[in-house]
Amino acid sequence: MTAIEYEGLPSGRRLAWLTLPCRDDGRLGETDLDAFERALDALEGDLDVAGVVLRGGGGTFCAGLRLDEVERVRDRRRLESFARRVASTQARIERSRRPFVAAVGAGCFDVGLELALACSKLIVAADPAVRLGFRQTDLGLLPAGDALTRLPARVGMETTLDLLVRGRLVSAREAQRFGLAHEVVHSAGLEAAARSAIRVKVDDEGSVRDRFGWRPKLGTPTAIRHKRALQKWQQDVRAGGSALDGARLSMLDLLGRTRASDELASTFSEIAVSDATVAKLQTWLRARALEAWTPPAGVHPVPVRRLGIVGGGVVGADLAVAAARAGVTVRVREKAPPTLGRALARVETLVAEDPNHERRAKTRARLSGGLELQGFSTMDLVLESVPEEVSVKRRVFAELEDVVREDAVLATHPRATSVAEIGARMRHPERLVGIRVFRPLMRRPLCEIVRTPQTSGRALATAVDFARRIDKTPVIVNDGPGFFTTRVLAAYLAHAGELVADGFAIDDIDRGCRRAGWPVGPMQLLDYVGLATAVRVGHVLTAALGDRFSVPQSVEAMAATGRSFYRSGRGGEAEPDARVPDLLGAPMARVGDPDELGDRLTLVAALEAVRCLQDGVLANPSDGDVAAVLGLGYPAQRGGPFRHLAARGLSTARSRLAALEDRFGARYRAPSLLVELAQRGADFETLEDVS
Amino acid sequence: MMGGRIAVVDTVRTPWSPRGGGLSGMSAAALGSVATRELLLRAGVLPSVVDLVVVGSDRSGASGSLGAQVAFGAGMEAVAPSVSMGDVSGERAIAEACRAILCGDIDTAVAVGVETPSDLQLGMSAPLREAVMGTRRGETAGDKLRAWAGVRATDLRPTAAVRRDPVSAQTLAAAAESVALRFGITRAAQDAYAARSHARALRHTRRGATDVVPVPASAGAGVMVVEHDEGPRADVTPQGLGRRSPVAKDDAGMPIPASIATVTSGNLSTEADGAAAVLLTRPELARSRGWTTLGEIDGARFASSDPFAAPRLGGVTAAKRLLDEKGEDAAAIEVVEASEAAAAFVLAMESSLPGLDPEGVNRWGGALALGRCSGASGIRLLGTALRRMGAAGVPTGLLIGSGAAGHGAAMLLRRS
Repeated sequence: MTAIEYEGLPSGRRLAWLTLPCRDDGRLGETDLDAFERALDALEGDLDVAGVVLRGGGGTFCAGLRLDEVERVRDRRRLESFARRVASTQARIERSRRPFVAAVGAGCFDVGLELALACSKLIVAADPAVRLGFRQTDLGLLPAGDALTRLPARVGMETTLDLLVRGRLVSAREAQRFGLAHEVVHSAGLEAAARSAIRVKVDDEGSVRDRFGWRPKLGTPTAIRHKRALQKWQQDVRAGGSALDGARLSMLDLLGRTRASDELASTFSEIAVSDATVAKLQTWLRARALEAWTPPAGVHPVPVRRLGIVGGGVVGADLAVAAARAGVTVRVREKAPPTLGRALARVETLVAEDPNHERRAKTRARLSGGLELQGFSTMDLVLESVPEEVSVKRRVFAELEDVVREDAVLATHPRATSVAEIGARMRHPERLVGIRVFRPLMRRPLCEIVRTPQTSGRALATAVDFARRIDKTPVIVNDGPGFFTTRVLAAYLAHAGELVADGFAIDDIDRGCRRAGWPVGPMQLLDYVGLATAVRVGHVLTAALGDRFSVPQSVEAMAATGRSFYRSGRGGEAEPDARVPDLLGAPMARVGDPDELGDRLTLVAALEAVRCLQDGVLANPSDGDVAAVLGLGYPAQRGGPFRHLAARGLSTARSRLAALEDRFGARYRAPSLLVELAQRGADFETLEDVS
Repeated sequence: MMGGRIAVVDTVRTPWSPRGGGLSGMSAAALGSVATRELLLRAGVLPSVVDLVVVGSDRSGASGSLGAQVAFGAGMEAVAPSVSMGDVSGERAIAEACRAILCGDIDTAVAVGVETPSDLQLGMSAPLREAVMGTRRGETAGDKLRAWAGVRATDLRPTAAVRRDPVSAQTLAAAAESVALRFGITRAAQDAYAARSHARALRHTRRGATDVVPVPASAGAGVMVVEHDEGPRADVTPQGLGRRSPVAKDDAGMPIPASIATVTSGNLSTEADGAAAVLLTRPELARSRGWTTLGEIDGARFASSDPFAAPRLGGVTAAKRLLDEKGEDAAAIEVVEASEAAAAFVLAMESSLPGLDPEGVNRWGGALALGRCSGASGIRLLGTALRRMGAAGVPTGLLIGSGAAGHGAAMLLRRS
C-alpha cells in the first residue's frame, strides 16, 4: 500500500513523505502503479502540501519491475499501456507545481531510478548498499518509462550508453559524479537532507525548473560529442565487435533519433514479448525459485559463522573474500610459506577493491591465513580447493576429519573428479558435499552443489545456505564425473579443440559462438581456463564417460608447450596467435561459416546437458537450464540447453543431428532420451522430476 | 572489577590548558610528576608508602616508560607501569591500580593520567622522507645529493596528522555528525549544551575548584604559574555559537552537506594539556591510618561499541552493564560525570540511558569548556564526581568515559 505521512513545516504547510508502493521484494507491478497514481492524485488535490519526498520502503528504494508479471502477461498491448502509464507518472512528478525530492538510501533500479530521475532533486545516501542503474538491460528489457530520452540530457551520451546499454551499476559517489544524483549525504542524514531540500525549494519556488525535455541544439559541441559517442557504439555493433541483443540494439537505435519518445512504449512492449527476453526472464524467475529452496522438514543447516578454506588458489581466495564480506570469519590454510604469501596477497587484492572503508575494514578483520589447521576445530564448514589430484584431496580430508568438529560440514571444490571418489576413504562421507563456483566470480552467479548418494540432508542444506549467503544461485545436482557444468563445458571445449585442429580459424570459431550468444568464445575460454587444465579434465572425463571429451593429439602437444591461442596484440587487445597453426600443424585455412560453427558447438553443449539429464545428474531440465546460463554463459537468449532444443523442436533437432553425425561423426549422435522424446512427440517439460 | 571497594583518598589535577596554551611548554613526564607530587604533599603521604604508580596516557606515553619518568620526577622509586587505552587511558590506570590492591598484591597506589597534545607529533611529506632515507643509503656525496632532486620547497613543510579514529578513520567532527544524525540531535540543542558547559565550568572555577593545583610552567626563558583552567569563556552564548559554520564536510566516504551539518568548532571540544593523579587504598587501611577520603569506587566496567555505527558511545554500553550488575537504576543517580568530546555524544548518551537526569550530568562543566585531555580525563571525572557528591550530599555517582576506537568505561562511586 502506498503510505503518505505528513510532517508540519515551520511555514505552517505540510511536507509529505511518499513511500513507493513496492512489494516485499522491492518490485513494482501494475496494481502497485495504480496505488501510486492514486497517491499522486491525493497529493495533487491537497493544497496544504508544500513538497513531497519520495522514498523506498524496507530494504530497497525500488528493485525494478515485477518481472513475474511481465513474463506472465506477454501481451503487447497491455505492456505498452503499462509503459505509457509509467512515462506519464514520471511526467506528472516532473511537471508538478510542488517540489519532489527522491531520497535514495538503498538499491534503486530500473523503474525506481526512472521515477527518481523525474524528481526535481535526487539525493543519495553514501551507503555501500546503494547502487543505481538499469539491471533489466541484462534481462533484455528496455526502461519502461522515459529514461532513454531523459538520460542523455542529464548525464551525457557516454554515461547514458554506459548505464543503459552496458548496464553498469553505479555507487552513490559515481551517481553524483555523473550528474545522476544532485547530492550525496551521510547515510544517517538522508531524511534531514531531503527535508532541508524541500524547505529550500519552498522558500524559492521559482527554482523548480524543468530539467528534462532538453536536448542540445544541433551543431553545439555537446550535441557533436553525443553524436560521436553514439556513432562509435553503432559502428562497433556493425563491425560485430560486440554481440548485442535486441534490447540493446533498439536502445542504440532510439538514442539516435530526435523524436523517440512516441516509440518508447511500443518498443518496450515489442522487446518484452520477444523470445529472447522471455527466455531471460524465465531463467531469472527460475533462479529466484531455486534460491527459495528449503530443506525437508526436520533438517537444519549448520549456520556458517566460521569457514575454513584449504588451498588459497584463485578459487579459494575468491570464496574467502566473498564469505568474509558476507560476515563469515574465514581462515585459509596453505602448506608452504611462499604459497600462503601468494594466497594472502590474492585475498588482499580482492579486499582492497572495495571502495567502502567500513566494509573493507570489517572484511579484512574476518580474514586470516596460516600454515597449519589451527582453529579448524571451530569451523562450521571447511572447503577444500587444493589442486585436482585425487590423492592430494583425499589426504586433505583425512587430515581434516581428525581435526574438525563432529557436526561440521566438509566441502570439496572439484573440477572433474566425482565427489564420491574424492570422499571414498572418509570415515564420514555423509558430511561431504561438492561446492563449485565459477570465475569470474562477480559475473557468474551460480553455485553448483554436488551431492553424492551418501551426502546428508544437513550437509546439503548447509551448502545451499552458504551459496545464498555469498549471493549465488544454488543448483543441486547429483554426483558423477564432471557432474553437470564441467561435463557440458568439457564436451563443448573438446569439440572446439577438435575444430581448430581440423583447420578452422580461431577467430571464426570464437566469433561464431559469440554471435550465438556465448559471452566469450571457446578458444578464449580455453586460454582463461588454461589449456593444460582443460586437457587434464578431458582425460578424467574420457576415462569415465567416453571419447567425446578427448582432444586431438596436436592440441595436447600444444598444451605441453604452455602456449595459448591468443596473445596481446597492438593496443593491448587480444588477437589470435599467429604461431598456433604451426604448433598444431594445421593451416587454419578452412573456411567455415562462423554461424554454422557456433551453432554446432552450442548443439554439442546442449547434447551433453541432455546426457546429464539422462544419466540422472540433473533432477530436472529446468535446473540444467539455469546452471548452464548462470554458470557457463550458455546463450542467455535461448534460456538454457533444454529450452533451446525445445524451441527448435526435438524432431527438427534430431534430423539436424542425424545429418551432422553423418558428416562429422559420433559426437553429434542424439542421446537416447532425445530420440525417445522426439519419437513420442513429447518435450522435456513432460518429464517427471526425479529428485 | 572484583567485589570489594577501593577508597579514594584524594585527587588533584593541573589546570586544563587547551592546545597551545600556558602548559604547552611542558613535557608529559614533567606534567605528570607535578600532579603526583602535589597529590602526595596534599594528602600528607610519604612517597615510600606508595607501592605502585600507574600512568595512563593516550599518545603521550609512546615510549612505554612514561610511568617511570613520572614516578622518578615525583621523587619515588615505585613500580610504575604505563597503560594506554585511547581516551579512557585514565580510567584504565585507575582500574589497574584498583585491581592490584584488590587482589592483595599491594596496599596503596597512585593512578596518574597525562596528555600533552601541544607536544605535536609532526611528520614529514613523502618526498622529504624519501630524500632523507636516500641520503642515508647513498654512499657517495653525489648519491646523497641526488636523493634530494625530487624535493620541492612545499615538501619541506611538516605535516601534522589529522586526528582520526584509529579504527574507523573518521575525524571527531564526522563522528559527532553521524551520531547527531542517528539520534536526531539538532544544532540548537548542541549549541545550547555547549554554551551551558562553558557557563557551568566558569561558575565552578570562580567558586574555586578544590582539585586544581597551580603549575609553574616553563614559558620561553622564564617560568609562568598557570593557576586556572584556561578553556572556559564568559562570552560563549548559544546565539554566538549559532553563527559558526560546520566543520565536517566529507569524511571516510560519508559526505555531510552544509544543509544538514550541525557540528561546529563551538559544540566540539578542543584538545587540552593536563595531568591528574589519584591516591587509592583499601578502605580499612585508610581508616586505620586516619586518612580522610573523598569516597569509594564500587565497581568498574570497560566495554566497546562499534566505532563505525556508534562512535564514542562505548561508555554507554559499559554504564548499562555496570548498572545492571549492581542493580542500580540510571534514573536514581544524581551525579554523573562523563567525557564530553562533543555535545552530540553527551546528548546521545543521555537519550541512551533511559531516566537519566540531564541536570545531573557534568554540572561543574565538561570537556567542551575545559578542553579534552584524553589520557587524564578519567581521573578528573573521578575527582569531580566525588566532590560533587560531597557537595550535594549524594550517596551514589557514576563516571562514564567514551573514546575513539569504540573504547568505553564506567565506574560506580559511593560516599557514605
